[in-house]
Amino acid sequence: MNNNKTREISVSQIIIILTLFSVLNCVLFTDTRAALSNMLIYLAMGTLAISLLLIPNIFVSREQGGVIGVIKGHTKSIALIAALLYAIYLSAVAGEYLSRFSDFAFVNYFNEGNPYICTLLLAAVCLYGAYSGEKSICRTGTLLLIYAAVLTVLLAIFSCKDIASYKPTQVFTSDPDSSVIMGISAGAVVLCVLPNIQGGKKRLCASVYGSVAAMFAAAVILISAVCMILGSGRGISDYPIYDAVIYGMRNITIRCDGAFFLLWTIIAVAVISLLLSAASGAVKTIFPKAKFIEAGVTAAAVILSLLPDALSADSLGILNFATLFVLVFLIPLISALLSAKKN
Amino acid sequence: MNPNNNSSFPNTTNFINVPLEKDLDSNVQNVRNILGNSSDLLVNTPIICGVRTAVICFEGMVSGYDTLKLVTESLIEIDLPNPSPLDLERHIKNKLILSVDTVEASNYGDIMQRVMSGFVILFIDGISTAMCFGIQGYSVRGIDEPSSEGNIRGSHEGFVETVRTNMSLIRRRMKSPVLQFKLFSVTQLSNVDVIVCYMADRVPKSLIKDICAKLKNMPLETILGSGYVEPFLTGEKPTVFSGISVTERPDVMCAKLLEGRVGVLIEGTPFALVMPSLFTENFQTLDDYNFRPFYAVFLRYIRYIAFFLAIFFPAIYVAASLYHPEMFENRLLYNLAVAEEGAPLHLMWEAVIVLVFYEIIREAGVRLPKIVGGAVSIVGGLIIGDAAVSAGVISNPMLLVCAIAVTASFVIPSLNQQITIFRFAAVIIGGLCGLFGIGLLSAFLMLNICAAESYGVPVMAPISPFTPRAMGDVAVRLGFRKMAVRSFTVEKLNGADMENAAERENVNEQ
Repeated sequence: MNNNKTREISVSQIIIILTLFSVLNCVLFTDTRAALSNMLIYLAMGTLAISLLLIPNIFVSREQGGVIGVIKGHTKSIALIAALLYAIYLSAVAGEYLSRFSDFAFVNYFNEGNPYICTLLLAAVCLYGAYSGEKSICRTGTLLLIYAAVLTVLLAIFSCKDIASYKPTQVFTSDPDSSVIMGISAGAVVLCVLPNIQGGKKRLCASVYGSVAAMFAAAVILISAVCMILGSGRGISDYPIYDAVIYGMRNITIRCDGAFFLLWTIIAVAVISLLLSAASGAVKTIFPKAKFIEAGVTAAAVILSLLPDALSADSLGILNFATLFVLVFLIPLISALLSAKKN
Repeated sequence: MNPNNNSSFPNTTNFINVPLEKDLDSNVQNVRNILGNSSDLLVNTPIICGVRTAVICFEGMVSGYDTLKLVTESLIEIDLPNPSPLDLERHIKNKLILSVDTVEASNYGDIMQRVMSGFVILFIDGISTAMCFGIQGYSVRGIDEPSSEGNIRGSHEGFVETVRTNMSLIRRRMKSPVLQFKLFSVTQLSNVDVIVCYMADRVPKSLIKDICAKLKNMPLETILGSGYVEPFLTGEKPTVFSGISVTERPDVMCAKLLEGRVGVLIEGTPFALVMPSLFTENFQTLDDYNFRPFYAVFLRYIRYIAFFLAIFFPAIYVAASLYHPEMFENRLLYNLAVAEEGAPLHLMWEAVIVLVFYEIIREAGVRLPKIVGGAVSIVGGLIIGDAAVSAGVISNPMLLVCAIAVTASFVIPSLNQQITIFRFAAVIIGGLCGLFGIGLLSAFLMLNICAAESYGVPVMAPISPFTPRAMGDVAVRLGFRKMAVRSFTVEKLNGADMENAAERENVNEQ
């Protein structure tokens, strides 16, 4: 029997939570300004590249302490730099999601009052989530999946007449947007930092590639569903999935998009908590006895989310392919080489 | 020995490990001193075949008739020619059965423990041990229908306050040698009897050891209810939903034991504790297993829906009315607007006030004598409710929504505490932040419940971590032909690790 069974995250749990990550990414970061065909090709190529970059990670994730732990065993200063890079990247992504989701909630559901209150409230719950740990966060994935499945089935039942008459049409119009791939990139970084995925190398492979594939599939399905539901008659939209949900219920006398909004809020909490928890975990590998790391990382994410758009992580180029290359490929590769040298 | 001149003489605080003496008078005097000449101490000093003896017991704790018939008469009828104290002791031990529950005590701690548990103590002059005969005869409540767990087709027997009776209620249902009971006393001052029961082939030994150690190390002076013990058996991590459940029913306890759980029976309370406990068990009742599966499944989903209605219905109504009116159908929205037009309060405060009044009425109904309690419901529910609506203080829809939520909470009584608090929290946050706030609260709830573990078993199992095999009793309720061969135990749930739970907890505490 595995002594740490309850401490580990199972393959299915990691796949589910990262799929939900992709769903949230699609809700918040797709817009109708991107060309559909370009977007799907960009998504497929990006996913393929990330899958290749993740190969070194497979060799070190089962080692004590994961990628950072192996480096720490050889050179503490490099491990510290690596941990900080992971923490900064994950905090920046968490900040982006905090900011974007607060905007989404504010624009679509409030439109009065202060949007920063949304950010702070969201951050407070995410801080609690980060303290609960990755295991608890991943466990919420199953509950969310059940909720999402029930909602989708209900929506499909209520609008089944309309679905039959939908005609797939291209609603995305111009150049691809790099943020479509951001969810999968951040998911790949999370996979590099999470040290406690259950099982041996085979299971780890299944987790890593299953997650990447599921994230890709979720994005493709959602984007295709948006095209099918919205049709050509829709204008430019910042949140096409939100529009699709509302438009999908156009013949029902009540609007139930609030139920989806509830789902997206909980997914947002789970995803941002996972990012914060993974960032804290990276720092904790170096400073295992340090306290309030989660609070520090959350504060950093909140500050990043409150910065003006020109200073956001996306605008400053933190979330680009080069960063991804370093975090998903280079650092795990160094770690794998050090591990091989030791053995 | 003159007790007053000896500093090592046992008194009310230092008697526990002091050995008995050979001298009868000293022993009797020591017992009197330890108990401060308590008025309920009865001491008889019969001479049996020329040997001085003393029979000690507490008034009201032993059966007077049984003591007279079984002990006193049997002792007086002993006919031995000039026996020594040792001969008399051997004769009583080997030839007589004065009680089926007979033990020997060698120190004052044991004597006190026994005499206060309703034993009759026999001292013999010249012997430094005493014989204790269990002839309990204190007044106890008869076995009755459980007050907090009603059912239609199951047994009507519930636990009582006497721990030994409760033990027999379980044993009668499970005549198996693997069902084991460990009885011991906890709390130094009150010596309360506690029984840990389990199926030896289904629970890891390390877990039993851990639970027993936790019970023995409780820094309590006494236990007057199962709630005293619960905090010492749960982990350090604060969680809203407990990993320990409470039952008043021996049949439920047996079902739990069969699933590899551990039960704790406590003297003085009819509520037994069961651990580890899962969240989904709050939605299961004994009747589910007596009804036809299709009806049981229907009832189970009614309970799931009731749980969500009980917590979120008033909050969603408030949030939708204030921030998301598009969620209502047009005619319904119009009717609601007309009804709310007359109410002077903000919708959120209206909901809070209705719920606070309900809690006051409920508390009054619980605390008052049953005869008056009924009147409180009538006055509270009908008169105040009707008057409040007529006076225009509260709107009819709000009253309806709150009434539905409150009624829904009656369906799952075991979660009443959590439902009540979260209903208030949801109404307030729903009133301030709409569905966004309710979403955040739901996320907090989910994270909290998913973080909870009880003795190595995730409280949210078998839903998360998902165990498909266990869905037969969660998503649906399979028929007994299929259920009988499942031999489900909590240890087999995905993510469960009861074997190393204690070890991990110690590491976390360090």
